[in-house]
Amino acid sequence: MRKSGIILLVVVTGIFVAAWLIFTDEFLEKRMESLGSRINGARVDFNGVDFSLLGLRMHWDNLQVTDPDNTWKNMFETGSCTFDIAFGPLLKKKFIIENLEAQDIRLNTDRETDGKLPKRKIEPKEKSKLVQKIESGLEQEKSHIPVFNINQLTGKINIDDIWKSVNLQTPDRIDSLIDEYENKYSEWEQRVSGLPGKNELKEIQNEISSIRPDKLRTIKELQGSLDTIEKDYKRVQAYGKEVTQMSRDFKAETAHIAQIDDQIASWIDEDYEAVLALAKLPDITTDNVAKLLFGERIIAKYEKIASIIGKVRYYTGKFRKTVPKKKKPPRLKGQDIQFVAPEVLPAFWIKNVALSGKLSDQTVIAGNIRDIVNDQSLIGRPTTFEVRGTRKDSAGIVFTGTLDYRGNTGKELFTLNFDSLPMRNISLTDFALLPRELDSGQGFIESSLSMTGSDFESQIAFRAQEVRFNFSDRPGDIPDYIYKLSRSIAESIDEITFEASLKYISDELRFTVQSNLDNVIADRLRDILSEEIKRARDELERKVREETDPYIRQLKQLIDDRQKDIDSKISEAQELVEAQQKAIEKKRDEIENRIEAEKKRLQKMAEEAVKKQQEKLEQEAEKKRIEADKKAQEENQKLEEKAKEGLKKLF
Amino acid sequence: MLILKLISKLVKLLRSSAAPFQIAGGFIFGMMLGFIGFKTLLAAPVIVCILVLNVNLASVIFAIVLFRFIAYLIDPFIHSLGYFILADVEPLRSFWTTLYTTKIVPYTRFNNTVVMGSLIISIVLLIPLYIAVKKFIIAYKQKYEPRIQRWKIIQMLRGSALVRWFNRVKNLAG
Repeated sequence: MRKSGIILLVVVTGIFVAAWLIFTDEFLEKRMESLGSRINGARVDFNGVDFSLLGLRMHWDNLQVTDPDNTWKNMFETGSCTFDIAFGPLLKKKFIIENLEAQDIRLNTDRETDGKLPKRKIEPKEKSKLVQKIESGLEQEKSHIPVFNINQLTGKINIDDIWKSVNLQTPDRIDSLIDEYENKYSEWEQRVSGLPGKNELKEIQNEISSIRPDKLRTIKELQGSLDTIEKDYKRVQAYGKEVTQMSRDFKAETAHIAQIDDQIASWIDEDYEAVLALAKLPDITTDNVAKLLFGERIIAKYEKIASIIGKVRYYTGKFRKTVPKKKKPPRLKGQDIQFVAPEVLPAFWIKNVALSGKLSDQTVIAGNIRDIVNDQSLIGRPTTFEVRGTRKDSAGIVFTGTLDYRGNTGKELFTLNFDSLPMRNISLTDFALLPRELDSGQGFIESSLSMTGSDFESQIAFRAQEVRFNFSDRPGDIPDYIYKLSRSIAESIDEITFEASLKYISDELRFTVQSNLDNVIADRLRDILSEEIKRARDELERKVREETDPYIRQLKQLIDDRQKDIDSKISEAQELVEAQQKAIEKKRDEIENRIEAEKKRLQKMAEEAVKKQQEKLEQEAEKKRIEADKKAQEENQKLEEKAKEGLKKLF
Repeated sequence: MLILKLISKLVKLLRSSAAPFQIAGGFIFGMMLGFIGFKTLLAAPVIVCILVLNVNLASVIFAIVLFRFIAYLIDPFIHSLGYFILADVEPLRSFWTTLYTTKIVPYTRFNNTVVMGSLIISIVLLIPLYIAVKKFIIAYKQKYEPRIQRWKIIQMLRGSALVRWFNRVKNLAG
């Protein structure tokens, strides 16, 4: 044991406790500011932090949270705030607050100093895939919102100006086709030139002509000539087949080429559509009017909401990962592994936040946020909030929300309702044919937004009643008749309603807006615009045709010329072959006839020879028979005589 | 400078009159602090032991510097070991979860991969290192020290300008 060591230990401990008691507030203030700034991405400032170690009570006089997108503004600011930290859980490193009272909350206040953080490495925020997809879908929707140009009402559409920026694709495409067909026809010409030419057939013809059946004497000579003819005939027949196949192939090719007319027509249509898109001629349908009137503003709101949800998901996502992925932390820093069990208290849990304050438009707000927690599954409840506000002019606002990350799929549900909202000086649309601001009226908004996993659904229903437009700020550059038209439209409106819906379900984004103004505006616009738009459309179509026609003519000319040429060559070859075939057949018949006649002659000769021989043989046979008979008679006589002599001798 | 400081500490340590068990004890406490670091409640009992027990402080400081440097070099291994123990060994998860919910223990930062990895390495090295250091000191003092003192290089170094300059700077720094 070392006495001096024990004394040193006691002294050091004493100094540490004294330092804690003296400097704890400053230390905590700096730590909280540093931690908050790191999470927020811009300065978080605490003032008047007071921490009572014995009572575990925390208090601050003022808290400012800088808006990271505008560091000269605070996202919000609170006044006095007091809360108690539970002692028991703190021993387990659990930061549990039963009730936090935040008073005098103000939104979007000015800052005296810039709230930008000094440059340092900040962990990049990963946007959730859903937010990315919604943002890109909204971007696409924005590009589809019809453009309405007041000049289309005040003057003629300048076709020449539009035409300057047109870049037609059809001429280039036809040029490519011409090259392609040139090559194709050259190949065909090569094939046709490979056919048996006149010389080859002439040679056969000469060979056939040299055969003179009348000069041939013997069957052998005739048969020899017939064999030659058969050989030539087979050659000509093979040529004939080749020519017929080629003719068939070429017909198929020309039939295919004939279909190019449809292809060219569709190219011209595409070009025409592209020209119309460039001209941005309004397509006045009831569907489009609502988007024209309110689309851009609603989409801008949705974009803002999507980015807020993205931030919420980013930070809450950190607490949802129950199975940590192995990271590569800086050396000697390591990675903290969180352990989760049902009985485990969350590391951070503010059970209730009672807040009160004022919005920038003097709306007095009060509400609660319940269960701000790092892991909802541990307490079995989602984070919820409800804020209600009222203004002097009796307008009311209710904002509620549920952030549920208990399961594997995060769910967020928000509702925002406005009641009896005075419409004076409110601008609803930038549509050029309606006055910018309203003069009077009462508005009601009911909106909801829910996100479940990768699905997103939102509805906004707006109703403004007893609406009067403010006509005092008439734009100076519009003619009288347009102003009168605008005024007559505006005066005919005493109620404005619209329902917007944005859904992102199964990777498909659907955005719809419907309004009671759709028919009113569409009908009036159609009356005015239809004639001029029709003229512009016709003119643009004529110009497209004018530009593409020479190319089409050139292509058709090429097809006609080359096709005829090849056709005639194939026909010529076919005729030659047929003529040759006929000539050979005729010669073959002649020789065959000659052979037949010769055969008959020879047969007759043979028959005569046989007959003569037969007769001769018969004569000889008769003669021999007579001689034999005679000899036999003599023999008989001799025998008879012998017999008689014998008998005589006997008797 | 770190190397010179280390050499200086080592020389001082080897030439000190402290008993081998004091040097070895200080060395293993220093090793633990070097590996685990000071930002954990685990460091507190070690510091208390160093202050209260009669261990050699020079050996503590030497070991802290040496093992902090080694910990920096082998940090990826320490991190992987800690991650394996905390996250991959399923049977231990309930134990860690219980510890995590126990009072005071979470302040030890045992759930940090580097703290856990370092703790495991320290515990494994504790006894072998104590025995090894003790034996080395005894062997050094009995056999090698007289011989080393006779080395020409040591005598040259002792009288060299570099060592004189280093001692001057060290004295100036207090």
